[in-house]
Order: sequence, then structure tokens, then C-alpha cells
Amino acid sequence: MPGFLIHHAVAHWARVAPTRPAFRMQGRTLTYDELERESNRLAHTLVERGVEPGDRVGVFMHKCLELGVALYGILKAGGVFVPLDPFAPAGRIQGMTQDCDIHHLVASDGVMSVLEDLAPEARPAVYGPESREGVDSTPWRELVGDPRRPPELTMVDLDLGYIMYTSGSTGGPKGMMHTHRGGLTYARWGAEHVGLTPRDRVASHAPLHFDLSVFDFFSTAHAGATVVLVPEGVTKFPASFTKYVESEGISVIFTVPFTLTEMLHRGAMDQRDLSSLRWILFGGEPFQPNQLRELMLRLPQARFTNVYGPAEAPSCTCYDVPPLDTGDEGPIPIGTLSANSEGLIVDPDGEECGVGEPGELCIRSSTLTLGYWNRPDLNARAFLEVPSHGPFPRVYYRTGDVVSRGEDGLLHFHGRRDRMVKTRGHRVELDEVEAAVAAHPAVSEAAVFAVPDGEGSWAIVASVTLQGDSEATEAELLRHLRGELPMYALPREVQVARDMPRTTSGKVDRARLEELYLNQEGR
Amino acid sequence: MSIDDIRVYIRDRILMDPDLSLGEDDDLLLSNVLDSLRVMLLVSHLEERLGFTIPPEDVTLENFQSLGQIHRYLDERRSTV
Repeated sequence: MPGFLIHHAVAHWARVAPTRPAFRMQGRTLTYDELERESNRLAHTLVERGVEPGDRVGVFMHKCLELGVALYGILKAGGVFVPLDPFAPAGRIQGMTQDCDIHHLVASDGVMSVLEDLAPEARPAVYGPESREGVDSTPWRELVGDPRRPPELTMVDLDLGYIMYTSGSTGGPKGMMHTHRGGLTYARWGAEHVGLTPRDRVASHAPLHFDLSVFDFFSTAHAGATVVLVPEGVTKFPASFTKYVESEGISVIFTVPFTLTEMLHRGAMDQRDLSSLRWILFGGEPFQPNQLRELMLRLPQARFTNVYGPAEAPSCTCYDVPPLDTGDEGPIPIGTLSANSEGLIVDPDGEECGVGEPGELCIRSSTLTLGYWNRPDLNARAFLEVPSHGPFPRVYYRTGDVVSRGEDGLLHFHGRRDRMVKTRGHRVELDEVEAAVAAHPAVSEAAVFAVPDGEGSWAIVASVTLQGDSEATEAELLRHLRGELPMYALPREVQVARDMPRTTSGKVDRARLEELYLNQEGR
Repeated sequence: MSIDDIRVYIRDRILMDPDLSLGEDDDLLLSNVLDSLRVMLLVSHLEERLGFTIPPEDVTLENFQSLGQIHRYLDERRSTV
């Protein structure tokens, strides 16, 4: 069976079942043998160009068949892949490539114009697309080296495999370091829980920089099954997505509740044969029980699993949801700890909570991140160390999520301790948005808050006061924000106000702002 | 409804970006102009303006990928309702 590094699965299946498709997209396929050979060539090329074990290599690509070649090629070169959102503005990309010192990057054609916008000194060596004016690139056909075997390197499963960036509360995004062991623990958990077989076709619906993609890519490879890449355009149209599920015979989907609710209401499901779907996993935010019940009725052959876990400790709990009865309106539990995860629920004094008592969930797991890249300040706060009998303490990640354990042993999610929200499955720190709004020169003071979006998720709203004589408009402020933030983190509205409500201590009263916003006419 | 009407609506009401330039064949999804929420806003605006409904099964990538495709779709739809 597959070995102890993430890419070993590919070599294994290339040997055992070379002609089986590893990836499919819109009818085109890449077999395990082709994936093995192409990723070996990329790995040799990267090593030849100076990539050393532990170096970070960017993956800046839209969904395409070469995405798998990029991930495994980087890992085989001993590199650490860093997914970069292909829809993020150049400023944000440059921030990330500089933060973790990316000098090499695999790209797809569609992002070349963004690379052009990077400052020349910040521009990494590019692989994949043809060169164009302003950006040099080594195209796929010019890769060198023996396709039959990867570079000879010594690596252990505690080496880093990938860094995932997520919204950070103090301004820029923060990078979480994950090891091969962490990725493989996640991959094995997923493959075993769902009982993946080589016949499965697993959708890659989530973007690569979202940790659900670890399941999509690595659980699937672990089982020798096929990843069906869903083009980003298709993910934006529920009716296109259901059509794609039907035509590609997708059997397993891991996504956010928002996608499934959209599918239910706008996916024209009654006109599609979706009988190939056998398992749906969802996570990222709570699923409204009435919506889930309706979806279950539409897909009677499918099983449903609620997966919980912050990107720092992904998939640490899960709950297989039984058929829901009318009237089951209680929130869906997050279930029990997954294999290789252990949890503590603690009160603000660090004491363990009793049954039914809500407290912060702290997680110890082999999927746990090794910490935030280059952020000693965050690392000092985010982890709880319990002494052991040897030199290595037991390390728990403080999730910031408030959770309780019921009489039946099931865990329930109650909300956040801080200002992080989930908007349509994306994790956003309101303080990061607030910092971006406040950075506009015309803004005197900014407050950002979240309001229910009416579809079970949250929408972000900003309220600002302007500098003395400034006449900046909402449109102007939004344009500034589009250059700073990913689309999902953009406020739905920027309200220009003359003054802000204050608490007795003089701070901006965000709760009052929220209330005022919701009480406005027509909401 | 002309292509320009659709362009202006997306530019001024959905994106609120007066500088946005959008060609008839530009990909609205890959260029970050539309996402699922904005597609919904656009569809309800079109329905209101044109006085006919757009069924969910028609709200697809093929029909909404560019201004030109939206325009062609609306023409077809008008002739069948």
C-alpha cells in the first residue's frame, strides 16, 4: 500500500494500475502513469533550478489537469507547496510570496496577467505556461529529467508538505505549516471513513487553498480513485454543477453547506440523474437542519457527514448524520473525535469542562499544523503545551471554537470566541477586513461586522467615518478593497456615517452598529 | 435590453466600479466579475426588467459566461416565452 510521504501513493498506483485515471476534467483524463512521469519531470526540473528540500514553491493555478502534476512534482522535489488563490489580487499574492519566500511558482495560463503586476524583484521563476511579454516561464514541454523516477532525496514524514494561508486578524493572511504526516493522516481518515475505492470519482470543488482539497486530492490518491476537477466557472452556477455531477458520474463531494443549499434551490436537481452520488461530506460552517433534510430527501441513496476541524487541525471530528425527521430543528452535532485526534474542552481558567458545559475546544492530533509560518507572536498564543515525561510536550491547538460535550458523548458547536466569521464557507477575520478599510487614506475610523445573510451564512458590512473634508464614496472605498481582499471577504456594503455609536468606554460599539443595520428599513 | 444595458448594470449596480471595462466576450467568471451571489442579483434584475422569468436550469455557465452570451440567451428566452 501507499508509503509514508504524500506522493508515494501516486508512485504506487502508477505501478499497480498505470492506465487508471488519476484526474479528469471536462472529459479529459490524466492517468496515474502520466501523473507519475510528468511530476517526476517537474521535480527534476525544480531541483535542477535550485529548489532545495523545504523550499516553498507556489501553486498559482486555476483548476486544470496539470494541477496534480504541480502538487506532486513539488513534493517529489522536497519542496513545500503553497496554494495561492488564482482569484486574489496581485497585492495579496505578493504579500504571501514575500512572506514565505517563494522563488519558484507553478502557474496556469489564466494567472499570467497577475504575475505581470508583481514587482519585478518579487517575481518568482515560473513553470507551466508559455512565456509572454514581461513574464519568463519554463513551459511544461521544456521540463527535463528522467520521467521514470523522482529525484533521490532523503525525506521523513515530519518534513513540511504544504503551507495553507488563511485570513489573519492582524492585517495580512497567515500561513499554516503542515507535514506529510499531517496530510496523510487526513487523507487516510477520509479514504477510510468514506470507504473510497478505485471506482470512486471524487469532486475537487473547493479551491486548492481551502483545506477540504487535502481530502479531494490526497484521500483520492490514497485509494487509487479519480479526482474530477470542477472548473471554477461551473462552481458558480448550481445548475451547471449538477449537470457536471451527472455527466462526470461524481460519487463523492466534500464541500460547504452553501454549495449544497444552492444546489437544492437553484440546481434544477429534478432534471438531473444524480444517482452516482453516494457520499456527501460538508464542513466549514453549520448546515441548517431543514435544508439538509430536504437535500437528504432529494438524494435518498447518499450518506451525509458533517466534518468539523479548523484548517490548523482539519477533520478532527465528524458526525454521520442519520435521516432527519420533520421537526428535527436542533443544530447538527459535530460528532466525535476522529481517529488520531484528542480533544480537551476548557473554561477560561484552563480547567476541563464537565458534560454539557461549553468551553473552548483544544485539539491534539497528527493532522495538527506545526504552527504559523514565521509568526512567533501567533504561535505563542495559539497552542497549549502540557508537559510530558520526555523533551516533547503534548501540544494542543486552541481552536477558538466554543464546544460542549453532550450526555451521549457527541460534541456540539456553539460559536466563536473571537471575531472570525465564516461567510459561505470561507474563513474571514473581521479585523483583517477592518484593517483594509481603515488603510484607505480618506477613512478616519472603520468598523466591520457580520450580519446574517438570510441563507444561513454571514455577510460582511463596513461602517466608516471619513477624514474632515473627504467626499470619498462607497464605490471608491469598494474599489480600494477589491485590490486588497479576496472577493469573499469584501463587505456587501460600506456605509459612510457621520459618527459611530460608542460603548461607555468610548470604543466603537459594533454590536450596536449591527443592530442599527438590521433595523434599517427593508431588512 | 442591449449588451450595454447589461454592462452598465453590472458596472454600476453590482460591482460599483465606474472604471470597469468589459468586452462582449470577456469571461465574467475568470475575471472575477461575477460570483454565485452576484449571479443571483443579476438574474433577479433581468427578470424584473424584462418581465419574464429565468428558470434555474437556464442559469448556467454557458448562458452567463460573457455579456455576449447573456444577451444571446435573453434573446432566445424572449422568443420562447
